[in-house]
Amino acid sequence: MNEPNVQDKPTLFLVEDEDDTADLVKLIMEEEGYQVIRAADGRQALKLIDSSPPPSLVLLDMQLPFADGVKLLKHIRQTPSPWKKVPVVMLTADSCARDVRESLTLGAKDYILKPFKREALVARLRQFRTQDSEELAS
Amino acid sequence: MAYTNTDSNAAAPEREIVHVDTSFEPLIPKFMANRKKETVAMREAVAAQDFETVRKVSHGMKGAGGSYGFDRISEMAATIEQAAKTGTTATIEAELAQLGNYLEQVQVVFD
Repeated sequence: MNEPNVQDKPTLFLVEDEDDTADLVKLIMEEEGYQVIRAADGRQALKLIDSSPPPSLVLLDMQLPFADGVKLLKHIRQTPSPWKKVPVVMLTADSCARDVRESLTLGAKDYILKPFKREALVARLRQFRTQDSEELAS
Repeated sequence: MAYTNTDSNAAAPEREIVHVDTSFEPLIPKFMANRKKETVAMREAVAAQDFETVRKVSHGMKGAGGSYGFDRISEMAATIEQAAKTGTTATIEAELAQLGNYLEQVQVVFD
C-alpha cells in the first residue's frame, strides 16, 4: 500500500497542555489525514511559531502555561505571512464569553468547547480544509 | 470488546457502562490511569488546602473526560472546579469520593 507522502498532508499545529486531550485530537485528526504537530505549553508554541514553516491550521487551547491562547493568537497574527494568514480555531473548556469574543475579534476563525464530540471536532475543522489553502495562496 | 477497570468481580452489582469509539481503545488505559492519578493528586491538594492545584487538575479533567465519552467524569470535574474556585472543601471531598468510586467500577465497551 502506498502511504501518502508526509509532505503532501495538511498540517495541524495543536497547542494543548492536557496530554490525554492532545493524544485524542492527534488520533482523530491523523485519521482525517492531517500531520499533527503539538506544543504542550505557550513557551514551546512560541518557539515553534518562530522557527517552523506555517501549518495548514492551528488549534489553540485558551488556558496554557507560560503564554495563554490569546497571547499566542496575537503573536501568530503579528508573524509575517504566510503564518499570519493561517486559520486559527480556539479550544476552550470554559464558555467564557469575553475570552471567546476577544479571540474572534483578534482573528480566530472559530472556537470549539471541551469536552467535544469526535463528529463535532471533525465537522468544525473540516470547513478549513479547502478554505485554508485558498487563503494561504492569496 | 470491553475494558474492565477492576481485577475482581466482587461487590460491584451495578457497573456503569460507557460506550467509547473503537478507535480510541489504545488510549483508554493511559486515560484511566491518568484520571486515577489526578484523583489522588486532588485528594492530596485539598488536604493541603491547595485549591489552585485542585482547580487546574479538575479543569483539565473536565475537558478530557467527555471528549473520550466519559460525560460523568466531565460533570464531576466541573463540580470540583467550581468548588475549588470558592474553596469549598466538603464539596470537593464528596465529589472526589464519587469520582474515585466511578473510576473503580466503570466498564468500557468499545463500539
